[in-house]
Amino acid sequence: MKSVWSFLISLKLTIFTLIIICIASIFGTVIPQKELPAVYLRAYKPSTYELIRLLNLDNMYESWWFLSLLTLFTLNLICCTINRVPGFLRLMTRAEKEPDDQLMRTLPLKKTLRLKAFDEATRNLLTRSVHKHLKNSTAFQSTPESFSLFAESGKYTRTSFYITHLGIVLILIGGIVGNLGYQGYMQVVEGKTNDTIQLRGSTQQKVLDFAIRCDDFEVTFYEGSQRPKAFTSRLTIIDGGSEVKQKSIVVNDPLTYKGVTIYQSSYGYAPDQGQAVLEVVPASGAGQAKRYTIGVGDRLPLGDEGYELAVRRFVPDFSMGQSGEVVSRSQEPKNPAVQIALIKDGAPLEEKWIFANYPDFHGAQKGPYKFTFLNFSAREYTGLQLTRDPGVWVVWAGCFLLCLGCYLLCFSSHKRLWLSVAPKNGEYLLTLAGTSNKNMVSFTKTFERLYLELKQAAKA
Amino acid sequence: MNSSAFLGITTFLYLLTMTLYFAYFFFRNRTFALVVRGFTILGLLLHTIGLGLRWYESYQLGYGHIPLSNMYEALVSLSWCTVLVLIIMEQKFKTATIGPFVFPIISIAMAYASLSPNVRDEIEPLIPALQSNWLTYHVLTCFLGYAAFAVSFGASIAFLLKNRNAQPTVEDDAASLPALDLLDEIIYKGNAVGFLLLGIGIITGAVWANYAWGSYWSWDPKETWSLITWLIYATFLHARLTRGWRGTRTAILSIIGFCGVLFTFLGVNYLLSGLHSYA
Repeated sequence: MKSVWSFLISLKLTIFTLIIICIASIFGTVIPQKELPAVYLRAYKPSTYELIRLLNLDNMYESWWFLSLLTLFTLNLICCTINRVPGFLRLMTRAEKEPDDQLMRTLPLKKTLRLKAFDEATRNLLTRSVHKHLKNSTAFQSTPESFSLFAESGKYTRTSFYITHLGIVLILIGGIVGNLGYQGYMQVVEGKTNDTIQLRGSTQQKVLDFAIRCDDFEVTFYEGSQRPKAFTSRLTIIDGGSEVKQKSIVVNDPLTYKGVTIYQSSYGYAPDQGQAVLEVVPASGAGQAKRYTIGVGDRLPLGDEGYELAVRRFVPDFSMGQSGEVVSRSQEPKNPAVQIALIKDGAPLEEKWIFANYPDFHGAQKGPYKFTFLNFSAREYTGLQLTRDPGVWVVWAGCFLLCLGCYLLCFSSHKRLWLSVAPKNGEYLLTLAGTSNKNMVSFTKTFERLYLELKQAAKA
Repeated sequence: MNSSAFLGITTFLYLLTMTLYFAYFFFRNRTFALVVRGFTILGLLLHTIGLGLRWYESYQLGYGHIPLSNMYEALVSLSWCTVLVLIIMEQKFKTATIGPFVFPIISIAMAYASLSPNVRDEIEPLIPALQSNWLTYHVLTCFLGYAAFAVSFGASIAFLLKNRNAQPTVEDDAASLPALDLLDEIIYKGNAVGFLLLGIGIITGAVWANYAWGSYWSWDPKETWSLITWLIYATFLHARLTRGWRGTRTAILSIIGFCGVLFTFLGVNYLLSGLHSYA
């Protein structure tokens, strides 16, 4: 038991875990995290990838050994802090001794002064001068011939060590508590409602006890450019069948309901939603141009010769993938295209892509009809990230303590002063000595100033 | 005159100030120190006007954001913070001996920002993820922290050079402490303040990330490296406060810490990829 404790409080353990955590973190920033195997195999040899997999370096920050290291570090921090408590309490409750020669010798700042006379008035003057600089003072002995005084300030700033460490421990605990929550993703098509989220890092889904309806999604652009300015989703929360909350969320302004925070994350076109507007002209040139509005997946008769038109697919930004398959390069309508099919007597005659931006491309005039793709009213979906993190307030409390502790560490110190007056060779010898646990430069200035004041007081 | 003109003159002025600081090694008198200080303050003034104008110009373009959103603006603002912290520290400790070691960094950063073809100096609109007041709090606290570390780094180099020359009895002209003790105190103070500011910077970043993405920590390379840097300075503080390290050893730790700062600020952007790819 004792050896376990001495292991947990050892500085060697601190240094060891910190160095390993740092080195591991460096690996984690160099090796891509949570990518597909193909990404690693492109960058590394298969044998190297095996090693990466074996050591969980592809998802290192969530690997058992990295989390164990963090836990060990937390334990070490807690134990070190507990271990210092008795010494700290002794320091805080210790009664300061009367200044003797031995103590005076060890203090870094020391000055002496000769006094011609010493009486009640001088003593009060000295006490007042000291009190002006350091608030807490205790007088030890006071005889007509001699006098000594201890004064200090900022004693409680010695707690900065505990405050800082407690802050870090709280942050780490908050991180653990956060694992009781979840993170996930959901898509909601405009006008539709959804209550099922895809959990991050797993194939599992989770059903919320309320539902989210997307009333509208909108992208606005900076004037005269393609750079997006804002992604806005107008959301309504539906709980128990009634609309309970409404808010337009943007990237830096989420919505929170029942401890679940909903963030704007992505957007896109719902592939099977929306309607295309097509113009159809008989290829012979005789006959009127007709406009049709037709949904994706629907078909519709053309004329009375048994022809039918169907819309198979819509992509906002047409592009060819590596193996020739049609993909959408982006979610912006940069090159909108629909795949249409001409059907004769129930059998597809031809299928082709037609483009809004290039009406004459791709032999649009084949067959008995000429098709022009005029417009597409797509339904957009908004991609929402949902997070429930019960530990986040523990983390913020820890952050606050960490900042407070570091602030005290930087800008405060425990200053101590001893003053004594004793008769010597028919005169009186005043000794002023002091120390500060930090910021000696500024304390030295205070000390010098006090010494000058005492000197002036002695003259008067 | 536009912001580029002001910032161009500032760069020139900083190069001049650097030369003056070097000359101060040979003409160590109070008047010369005042002249150097005058030039530093003039440079900072023009720098401030340049940054303010750039901010104003971004409003004229219809974007309206603080100049902290790309590499050019980051370098220029970080230099501004460093000059500011340098002036404050030199004033507080009544010395002009750290400037010669800090101004080369400032001059290089400013010159690199204006001259390098890798750094685009156009004013660009903010992407939605950056449109938040947290941008200002997060970047400014980090940069002020980096600036404090830079000043400590300068003091550490000065310490090692002085220590090698072994003149521990030389009194600094204005302070009552010997120069080496003063430098040691500056190294400690700069690193302690930098530690606090970088800590606040990491925390404001976490608060912002939680607000924008729903996750306060995601082990992104920039986050991870800033944590590593912060831990190096934590080691520095423990070595000094609980182990009583002084002088050469802490100066070396301080230099290692600054290497971490440089990697966090530049290395991560140029060598690794992640969430901070825009800045």
